[in-house]
Amino acid sequence: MPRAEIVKKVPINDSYFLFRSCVSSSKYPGIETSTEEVFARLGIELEDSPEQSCCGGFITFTSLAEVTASLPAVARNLSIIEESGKNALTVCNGCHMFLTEFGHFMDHNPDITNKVNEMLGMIGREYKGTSHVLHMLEAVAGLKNRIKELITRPLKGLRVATHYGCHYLYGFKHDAVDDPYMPTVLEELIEIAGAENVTYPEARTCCGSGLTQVIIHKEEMSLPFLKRKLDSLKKIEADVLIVVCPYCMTILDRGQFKMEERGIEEYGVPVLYINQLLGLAMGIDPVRLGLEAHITPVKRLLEKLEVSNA
Amino acid sequence: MRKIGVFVCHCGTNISSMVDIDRVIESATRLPDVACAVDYQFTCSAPGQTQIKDAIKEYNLDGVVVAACSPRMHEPTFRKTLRDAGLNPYMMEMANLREHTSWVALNRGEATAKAIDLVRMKVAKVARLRPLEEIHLPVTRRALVIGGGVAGIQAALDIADGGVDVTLVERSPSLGGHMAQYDKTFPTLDCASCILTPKMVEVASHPNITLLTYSEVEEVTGFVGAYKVKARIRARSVDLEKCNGCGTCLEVCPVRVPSEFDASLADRTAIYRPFPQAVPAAPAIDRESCIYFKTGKCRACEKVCPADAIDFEQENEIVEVQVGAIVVATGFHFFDARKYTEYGYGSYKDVISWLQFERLTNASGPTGGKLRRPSDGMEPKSIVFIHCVGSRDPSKGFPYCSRICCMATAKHAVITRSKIPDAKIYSFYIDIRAAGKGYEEFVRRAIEQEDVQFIKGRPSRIVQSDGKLLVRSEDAFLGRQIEVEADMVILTNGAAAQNDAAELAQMLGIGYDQYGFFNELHPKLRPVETNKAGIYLAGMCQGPKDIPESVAQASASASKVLGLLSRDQIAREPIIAEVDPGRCTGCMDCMEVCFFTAVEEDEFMERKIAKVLPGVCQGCGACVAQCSDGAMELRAFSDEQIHAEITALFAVEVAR
Amino acid sequence: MTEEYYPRIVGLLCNWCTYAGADLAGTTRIKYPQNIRPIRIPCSGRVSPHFILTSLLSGADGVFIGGCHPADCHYNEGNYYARRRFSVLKSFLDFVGVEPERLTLEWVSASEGDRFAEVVTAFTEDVKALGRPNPYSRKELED
Repeated sequence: MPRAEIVKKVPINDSYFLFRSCVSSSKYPGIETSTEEVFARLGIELEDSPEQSCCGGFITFTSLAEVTASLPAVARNLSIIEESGKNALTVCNGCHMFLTEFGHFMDHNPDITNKVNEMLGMIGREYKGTSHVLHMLEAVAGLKNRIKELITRPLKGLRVATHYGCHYLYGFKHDAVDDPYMPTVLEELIEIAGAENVTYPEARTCCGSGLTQVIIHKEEMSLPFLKRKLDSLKKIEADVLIVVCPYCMTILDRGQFKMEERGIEEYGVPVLYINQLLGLAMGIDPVRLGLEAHITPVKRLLEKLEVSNA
Repeated sequence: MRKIGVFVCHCGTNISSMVDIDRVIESATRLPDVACAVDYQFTCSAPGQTQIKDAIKEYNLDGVVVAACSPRMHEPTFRKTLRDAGLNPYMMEMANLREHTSWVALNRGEATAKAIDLVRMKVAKVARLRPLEEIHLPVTRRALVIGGGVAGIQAALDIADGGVDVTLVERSPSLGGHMAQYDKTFPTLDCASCILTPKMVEVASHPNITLLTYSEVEEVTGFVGAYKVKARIRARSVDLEKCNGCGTCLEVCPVRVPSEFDASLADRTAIYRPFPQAVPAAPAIDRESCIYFKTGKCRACEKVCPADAIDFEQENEIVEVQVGAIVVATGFHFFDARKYTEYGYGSYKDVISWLQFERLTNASGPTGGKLRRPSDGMEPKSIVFIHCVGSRDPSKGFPYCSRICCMATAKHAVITRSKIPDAKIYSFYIDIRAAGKGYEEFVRRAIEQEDVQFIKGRPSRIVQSDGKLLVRSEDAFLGRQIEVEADMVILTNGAAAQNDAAELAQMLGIGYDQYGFFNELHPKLRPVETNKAGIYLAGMCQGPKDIPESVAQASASASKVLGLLSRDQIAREPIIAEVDPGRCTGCMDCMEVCFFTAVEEDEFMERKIAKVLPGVCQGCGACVAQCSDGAMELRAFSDEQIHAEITALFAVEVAR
Repeated sequence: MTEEYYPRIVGLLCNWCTYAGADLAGTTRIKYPQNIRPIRIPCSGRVSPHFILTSLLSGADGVFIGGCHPADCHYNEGNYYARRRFSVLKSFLDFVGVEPERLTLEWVSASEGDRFAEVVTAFTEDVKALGRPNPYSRKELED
């Protein structure tokens, strides 16, 4: 299906359930604050729940147990979303993949769902399979026309590169808003923000995070992926790299520091979440966008935009 | 009281291993109307048939039940047995104890119970059968061939050489099909057009062939021996009689659009001939891109034509042809490689398709046969081929193997080596499938003598960087990731059914599979026939196959056509509907539901009744179910006969 | 009733698709319950509604009609007639009290041997689940 048609199907509501992500909450609070700021301007309410836990991906990522061991955690979170009666928004590729794919899995395996519900029954919960989980990129793509009206400070002359992340590229085949192998939806949003898209050969390859997981943790294998990506990015002299996943952000942002620290290479390309970029274009105070928490300095970027990070 | 013989087949152990034959015989013997019930190891064998013939004489049988395999398999065999024994062949029914019973049953008890029931039902039906005589119909001694690629050309020539008139309908302005676009053929590296174009000329000049190019079949009605075909000849805007093919018009036309024949690697004019050796040589005006048809001005071609052959006022023409048989040879199209966005086809200029590569290496192609990459005309020094783009990949393409691509890639690699001796050539494959005469040897030649690196692995992505294409893949043998730097990448995209294949199949009433390939009548034994008598298949439209197979199938179809049309009359099964004039009230509901317009109004004792046309009726029985007066009957499937089957099933309580 | 309920099913299978699909199930040796007794008819359009009534009255616990998929009918439109007649009759039988689970109309093509086994298995299960013989058979009516 062509993207324009899929984007039209994104449900646009007055309020959503904001599904928080461990990585963003703990490492890059700006991802969530920028989301709150942007959605406040859009007049859309975001509800969250203190009951919510990690999506369940942690169990899988760390290889601590079988993949199915994540199911009760995923189902519990989905039951919380169901309780809110709202469509959910996730800020993270991983959360989105776990919630949608595992939900899909449970919807097609009633025997396993019954077992999961037995467990949930002990804490008075039930998974019904009635929720709809959206990735932030889908939501902002669906809201692009309303966002366009809120752009007060077009990011003229800003050279912006993109990174979608593997779980966006290969994980969302069932309901991706775009061709998962060659997406361009982010580029469209960057244009709306008034910035200039620049592309680099390795734009759609992995950041290397897959090899940094706790159990595998083969940094010596992971770093060449990151280096290949950053080398390619450096050549095009981008002002900023936009991501849609906190985990990719961790690798790409902190990885630059790591490379520099080890004397391998200096890059200095700040990494921002899409809503942080949109926030800048809407004239939102950089402090509210949480840019201070970024390891790779954003100073030069803000100078270019003539914004102070006071 | 009827005298019915029941013959139970063991089919080796196929039936007898699951069905207690003795109990079937014992139960059949006790049925009224049954004169004898016997079994045999292989009833379809010569001695098995003799057993039936002997029993017919000995017991003076007037009906037969053969309890064996599916009637779709051996009904004609046993009908003939009855005829040979002097019994009307339609006094026979088969109980399906193999496909519907022994092969699908979970246990012997269930299978035996079912077998006993099926035999009892068939005895009840046979007791109510009536002798039927075959219907003889006149045959039109002309054939229609749809499609003018190599398969259609071969079929048309073979039929025409057999002395039968042929009408060949081709959609594009010229004969030739995909084969005309190829450079060479595997494994002999014959020049494709050198072997094809003489055949194209032969078609055009054959006294028995009427060639309709730039034409499409619009409607097909009728039945075997008497098909009525409507074909639309699109307005070519060039008079075929007057045009001498000089080509002056092509030089003055100001329009440039991508050439379909050159797979968009070069441009053509609005008045165009797909390729220099086109047959017919007369060009056609593509009205969608012609300036005159868009703006009313230009007519440059008309001014220079020495033969006064340009005719802007020409209109589409509908011709009607009567034919006795039809050969469908509509070919295929290449899978659209743009679906593999990770390979960048359509966005990276130097990632090209197989067909584009054929044009690049073809001496009559856009580069005059020089292998140059499209982006900058540079001679590529590192070339990557990727197999199975769209094939063997249910996630984005088709699950089937396209059969020709492994060999085509080996051919492309060998051609590349001859053109650029110092090139690095890589070929990424899943498996090499080289089953064919001289095929494996050809692949070995590519690997061993032509230094082509075959790598087992499916590339995950192509990245364009600094004018290079980086092909990332796994190497399944080394078990690691590899990256190959290429100047040019060729995607070997597989074969897909024509986009409008289902439409054509529905027009013809022939079967097709989930991909749009037409179904043969039997995968092993009737590979070119279809479920519709008198319609045959040739070439890729039936499924992926290479040129020799397409040609062989075309010749096979042609021999089927010649066999069919060698007779003055053809016999048709007499299983058609008939009207009981005494019961018919003339409401003509039957006429309403008949798809084949086989029902007409008639008069009987000064009142209106319905009448079935024996040559037209196909025997579906829709009218019988519609008739509210019980006046319409279907021979061999009458209400009485089917009711007898149903009630016989419940007539006896059988132990399970 | 002491005897175990073993449903008996009349199958009216069109020659070109479902009968051939059933043949293919055999050729590929796919197992399925043997409660069905197939009757070969040229086309699902041949199914007169009284075949179904006769089956039920004679003692059938289920009637299975098989035809070609829409647009694939060998006779072009027979399956559409079958579908219309079937739906009218089915709603009538529902009205007089025959459980709708006892009747089915399925599209099975000549290449769908596995599907034939699947739909027959599912239908047999459905009829079995009713737990009692068809109450409208003459035998049951007389009892």
